[in-house]
Amino acid sequence: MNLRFLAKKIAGSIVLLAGVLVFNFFLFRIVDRDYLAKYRGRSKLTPEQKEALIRQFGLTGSKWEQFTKYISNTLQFDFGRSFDSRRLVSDEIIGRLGPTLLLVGTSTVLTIAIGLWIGIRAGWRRGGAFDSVATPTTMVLYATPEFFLGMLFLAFLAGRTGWFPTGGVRDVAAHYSGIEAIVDRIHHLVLPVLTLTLGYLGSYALVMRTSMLDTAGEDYLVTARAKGLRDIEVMRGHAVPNALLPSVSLIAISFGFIIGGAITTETVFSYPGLGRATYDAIGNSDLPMLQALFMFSAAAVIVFNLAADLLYGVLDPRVRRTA
Amino acid sequence: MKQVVVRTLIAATLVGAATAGALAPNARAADPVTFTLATTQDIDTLNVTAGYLVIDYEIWNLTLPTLTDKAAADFAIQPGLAESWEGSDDGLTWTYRLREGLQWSDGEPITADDVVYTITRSVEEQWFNHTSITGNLTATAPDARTVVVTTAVPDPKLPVLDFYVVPKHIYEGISADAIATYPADDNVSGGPFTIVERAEGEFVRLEANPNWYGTKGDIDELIFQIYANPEAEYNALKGGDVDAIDEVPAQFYADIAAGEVDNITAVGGNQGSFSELAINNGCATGIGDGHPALQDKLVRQAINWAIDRDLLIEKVLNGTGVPAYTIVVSANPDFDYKVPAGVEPYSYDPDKAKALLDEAGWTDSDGDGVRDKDGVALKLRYFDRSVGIGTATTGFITGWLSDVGIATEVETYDEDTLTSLQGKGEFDLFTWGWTPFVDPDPLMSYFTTESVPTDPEAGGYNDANWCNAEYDALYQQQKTELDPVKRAELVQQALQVFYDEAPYAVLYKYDDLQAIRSDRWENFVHQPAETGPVFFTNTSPAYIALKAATGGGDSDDGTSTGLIIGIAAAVVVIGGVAGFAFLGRRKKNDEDRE
Repeated sequence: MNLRFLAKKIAGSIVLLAGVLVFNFFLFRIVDRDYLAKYRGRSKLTPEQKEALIRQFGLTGSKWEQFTKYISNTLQFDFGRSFDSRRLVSDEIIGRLGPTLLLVGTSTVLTIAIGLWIGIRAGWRRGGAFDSVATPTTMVLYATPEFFLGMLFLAFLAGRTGWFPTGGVRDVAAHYSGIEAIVDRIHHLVLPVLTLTLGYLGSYALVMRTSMLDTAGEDYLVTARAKGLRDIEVMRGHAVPNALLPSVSLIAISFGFIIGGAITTETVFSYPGLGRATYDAIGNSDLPMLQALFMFSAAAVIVFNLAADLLYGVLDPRVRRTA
Repeated sequence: MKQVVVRTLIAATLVGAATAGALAPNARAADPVTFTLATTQDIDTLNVTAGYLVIDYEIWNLTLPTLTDKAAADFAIQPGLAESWEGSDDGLTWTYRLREGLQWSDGEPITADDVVYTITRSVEEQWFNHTSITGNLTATAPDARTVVVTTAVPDPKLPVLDFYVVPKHIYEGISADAIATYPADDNVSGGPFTIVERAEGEFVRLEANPNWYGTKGDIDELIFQIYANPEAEYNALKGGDVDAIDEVPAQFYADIAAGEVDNITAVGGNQGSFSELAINNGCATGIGDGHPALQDKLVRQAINWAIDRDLLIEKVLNGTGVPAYTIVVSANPDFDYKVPAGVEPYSYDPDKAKALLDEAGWTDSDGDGVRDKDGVALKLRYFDRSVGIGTATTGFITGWLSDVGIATEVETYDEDTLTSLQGKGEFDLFTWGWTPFVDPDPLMSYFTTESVPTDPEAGGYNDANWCNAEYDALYQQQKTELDPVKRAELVQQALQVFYDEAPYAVLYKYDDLQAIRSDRWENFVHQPAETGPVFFTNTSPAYIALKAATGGGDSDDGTSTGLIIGIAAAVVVIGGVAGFAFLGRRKKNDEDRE
C-alpha cells in the first residue's frame, strides 16, 4: 500500500484522538458541578472530611495542574477512582468489557450478516415479494426504539412465559459449570441480542439494497449475462462484490461502536456491560468513570474508522490514488 | 468435505448441550436452598466506613454483628453479641457480657477487643456510619468477654449499641489513609451470612455463616441480584427468576395486595419514610436567597392548607401511603406525631390558605392572579428531583398553589445538583423525603439551628433552612432525658413546634413496595410488626425467619424448562451462524465454477 496514504490516515487519527483527549477534559468541567454534594448528602462535612474527599478524588490544584495530571494519567491508562464504588476506573471498565463485547459483538455480526443478506435479496428483485415484505418490516423495526422492543420481549418472552431469563448474564442460583454454563450464558443473551439485531437490521438492509439497485444497471452485469452466466451467478459473482463497497465503512464504524455498549438495551435487560455502566455513571455523576468511558468509545470509533479507510483503500484502488 | 466437518461439529455441540440439559435436574438435587432477592440498587461499596446506600446496610446487617439486636416486632432491645448488660446508677457506664465461644466466619474468636477496637477507631477516624452512636463513648475490655462502655454525656439510646463491630484482626492491617478506599473484600462475617462472591452490577452471593451464634434459618444461600429497573424486577418475579423484589411498580402493587396475582404476595410496609415539600425558611444564621414571604409562618401554614394530601396518595402513590403533617422521626410508629385534641390537622382547605395569606399581607393588588406585597410578587422557585415520583407530585402541588395565588417556576434537577443548591440555600421550594432510624435523635437533630448550612461546600442537614430556639431546646432536652416516657413527651412537644411553625409541608408516609413468591416461601416477618416491610428493614430479621414452602416450592422449577429453551436458542444461534458459513462456502464454490 501507498506509504504516504497510510501515514496521512494514521496521523489524522492521532490528531483526532488528541483532540478528543483534550475535549474530554473540558467537556466534564463546563458544567460547574459540586462533586462533594453526592458524598455529604445533607450531612455537614467537617473541614477535615472536606479536605479528605477533595484529595481522594484528585480535585486538588488549579485547572491547569488538573489538566496536565489528567493528560499524563490517561496516557498511562490511569483514569483514577470511580466516585461511586471508589474502585479503580480501569478495573471497572475491564470488568464490564467482556459482557459488552459478547452482547454487542454478537448482535453486530448477526445484524450485518442478516441485514446485508436482506438488502442483497431485496435489491436484486426490487418490488418482488421478498422486497415488499422484508424492506418495510426492517424499516418498522429500525424506527422502533430499541428499549421499547426490549421491554416487549421482556414482558412477553421472559416475564409472562418464563421462556427466557429477565436479566443479567447468568443464572446465579444455579451453579452451572462447563457446557451448562455456556448454554446458560447463551440463554441470557438471546433476548438482548434479538432486540439489538432486529433494531438495527434496517440500516444495513437499506444501504445494501440501495447499492444493489445502483449496480443493477451497470454494463458489466450485461456483459456477465451475455457470457451466459445464470442469474444467481451474476448476482454473487459481479453485483454483490461491487455493491458491498459502501457497506464496508458502515460495518467498520459499527465495530467501533461495540465498545460503547448498548445503553438502553443493557439497561432494559439489567445487563452488566459498558452501556449500563455509562447509564449508572450518568445517574451517579461519576466523573472519572464517564471521562474514561467517553475516551474509550471515542477511541474505538476513531480506530475502526481508520481501519475502514485503510480497508477501503485495499478494496478500491481509486481511493488510494486520489487521497 | 469442510461442510461435513462443520455439520458434525454442530451436531456434537447440540448433542452435548442436550445431554447436559437432561442431566441438570439430577445435578441440582443436592443443591442448597437458595433465596434470590432482586434489587434495583447496586452496592456502591461494602466498606462500612464509606458506603451509605440502603443495600449496603442490608448486607452489613447480615454480616457485621452488633452488641445488642432489636426485636422484629417492636425494635425492643435483644441480645446480640452481648448476652446481658448492666448499667451504673448514673446511667453513664454500661457493662456488656459477651456470649461464650463467639467466632468470626474465618474461625478467629470474636472478643471484647473487637468491640473496643471498633469504638475507639471509629471515634478517632470519625467513621460516619458509627459516630452517631459511638461519638461520645469510650470503652475498655477487662477480659475477653466483658466490654465496659462509658458515655461522656447521659445518652437515652443506651443500652442499645447497634453499631457494626468490625473484625480487629482484619482492620488492624488497614491504615487510616487506606481505609477510605478499602474494597471490603475480606468476607469475614460475624453475622448470619457470609459474602462468598460479588460481581459488580450483577449480584452478591452470601452463604449461611456456620460460626454465627444464632439459629440458622432455611436459607443456605442468599443472592441479591441487581436489576436495572422496577419493571424488569416485576417481570423477573412473575417469570420465577427471583423469589422476591424490593420495588414493585406502583401500578401493579394494588392488584398484588388484593391477592389478584397468583403465587405473589405483597410484603411492603412503612418504616417511617416520608416525602415533603421543603420550604426555605431563611434562617438568619444561614445563607442563601429564599423568598422573603417564606419567613412568615402564616405563609408556610397556608401552603400546608393548600395541599390535598389524600388526593396525592390516591393519584401518585396508588393508595400506598398515609397523610403526614410533621417529620416522622422514627421507624417505630409510637414516636409519630399525635394530633392533640383541639388541633385540626392540615387538610385541603384553599379558603383557609387564602385567609392566612391575606392575614400575612400578601394580596393580589394588581389583579394578575398572583399575590404580592410591597411590590414583591409571591412567585416561588419550585425544584423537582429528576428521579422518583417528584414530577407527578409537582403538577398537583403547583396547581393548588396557583389556586390560592402563589405562582411557581418549576425547574428539574438531578439529586446532586439539588443537594448543592440546598447547601447554598438557593431555593424556595423542593420535594424530597427522609427515612428515619429507630431512635428519634438523628432525624430530629437535622432540624436544629446547628444543622443549618453555613458553608456551601460543607452543606448541612437542615434543608428547610429553619431555626427555632424552642425546637432546639426541646431537642437538647430529649437528647439527655433517660426516662423513656418523659423523653417521648419531649419528642411530641418538639413535633408540635414543627407542626405550628410549618417549616415543611410534609406530604405523606409512603410504603416500600415489596413482593415475594408465596408459592415458594412462607413466614414473612415484618419490621415493625404489621406496618413495616419485610426486606431492607432496620435489623433485617426476615432472612433467618423465611421458611421454604412445603410442597412444590422448588425454586428451580422454572430453570430446567428455561434450560431447554436455552438449548433451543443455542440451536437457533448456532444454526444461524452455520447457515451463513454455509452460504459463504457456496458462494466460493460458485466462483470456483466460473
